[in-house]
Amino acid sequence: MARLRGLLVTTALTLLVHEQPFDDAFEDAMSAWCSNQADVSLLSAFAAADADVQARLRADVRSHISVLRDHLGTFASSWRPQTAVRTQVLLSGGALILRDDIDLMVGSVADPHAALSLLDITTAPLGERAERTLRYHALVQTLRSGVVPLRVAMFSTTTADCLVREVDAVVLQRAVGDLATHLSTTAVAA
Amino acid sequence: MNLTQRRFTPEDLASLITTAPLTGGVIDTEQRRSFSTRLRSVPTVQSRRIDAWLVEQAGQDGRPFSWRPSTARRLLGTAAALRLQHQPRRAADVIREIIDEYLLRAISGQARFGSLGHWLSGLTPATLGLVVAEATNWCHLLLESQTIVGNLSMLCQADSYYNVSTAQTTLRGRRDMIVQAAEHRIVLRVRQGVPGKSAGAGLRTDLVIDALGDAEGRSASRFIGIWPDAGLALSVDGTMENLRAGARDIVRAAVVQRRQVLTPAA
Repeated sequence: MARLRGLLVTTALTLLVHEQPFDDAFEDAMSAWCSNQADVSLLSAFAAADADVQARLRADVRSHISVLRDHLGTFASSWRPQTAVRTQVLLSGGALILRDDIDLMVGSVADPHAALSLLDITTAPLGERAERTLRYHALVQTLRSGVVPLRVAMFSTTTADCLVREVDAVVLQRAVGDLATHLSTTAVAA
Repeated sequence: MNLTQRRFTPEDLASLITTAPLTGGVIDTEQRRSFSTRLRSVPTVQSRRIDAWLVEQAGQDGRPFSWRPSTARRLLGTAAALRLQHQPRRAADVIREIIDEYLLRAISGQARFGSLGHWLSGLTPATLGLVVAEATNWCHLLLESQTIVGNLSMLCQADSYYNVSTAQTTLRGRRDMIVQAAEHRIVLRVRQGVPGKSAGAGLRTDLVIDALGDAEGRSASRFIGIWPDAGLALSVDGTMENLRAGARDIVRAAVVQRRQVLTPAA
């Protein structure tokens, strides 16, 4: 259910960014999310869950969306907001694929005064890994477009905390370090 | 059949465009007739549609097509991008306006069953909101890609279609932008995700369908596929070798599709 909760909150973010009003935050997010799914396994799991689990998920999702609605604000069209942006960067001739999902990206990589900002929404509290995740977002985006994002941010819909980091060479270097550490750990484990 | 790979940056795209050959191959009447004969030799009881996606899947049909916000985004987003070029406004507003036009046609009974308008007319407001969001994303991606490609590019009004007479076959070649030079043209297609191993075959398919759709059979001098999600661009030149390879792949996809129809389901 945690995965479904995350997907519904992300769907709600998409709707909010494009100024879609909600009648019922859960039902609207659910109907919008379902309309885009070819695979119904997650939906079947929800339908098969007992009434208590379903009710808890409903309350949970409504709460997260209300936090999002209160803090998100509005986006000018000139910022070119894009939601649920998927990136896959192939390295070493495709031997290594860096995947990333950005919940909201504003700004354009084509603009000479690029002020690209990336926002990651999480339904969990911001923990120790948040910094590393932000660095990873900045690195993958830089590798994809060749443009260094201005800033990356992570917002928790549980606590309404927001972590914002300006991106510079130091951040990118640390992201490369994180990646190298992860790869060597994985290699040793294998 | 060289496939050129570059990064999707303004400099690399400019290099791919300026180094394009000055001429492309030409499909003459005899070659057109021969291609039609090959497709007619693969019988079908119902009309079939072949595109780069089917060729990339080696003729194996996946799930049957159904409208979803993600499958409607290209049609709506491209239409919005075309309007936005003449009239700078909010992309989401233009998409809502286009959706309203579809709904109007559906209400007045002009939308056939299974069409985009018919599907849109049955959606909840929240789902329509997601349709707007997906189309806005595509619209922004397309306009951003056009900025990277450069000022000489024009957005395409429509994909290229070629109906193979008496073979009940329609070929659809997707294309998003054209760079028109004096004697030749370069066609670009924006794709999502990452290019797979069969991306070259897909580009050659779009190349040959684009040439077949041209009244004089003139091929684009270069066909460029861009994958903004991966930051990559791949291109094939409009040589006769590539056109022949593209045509062969289309016939092969039709044969596999035919075999699938004939194979009883397990």
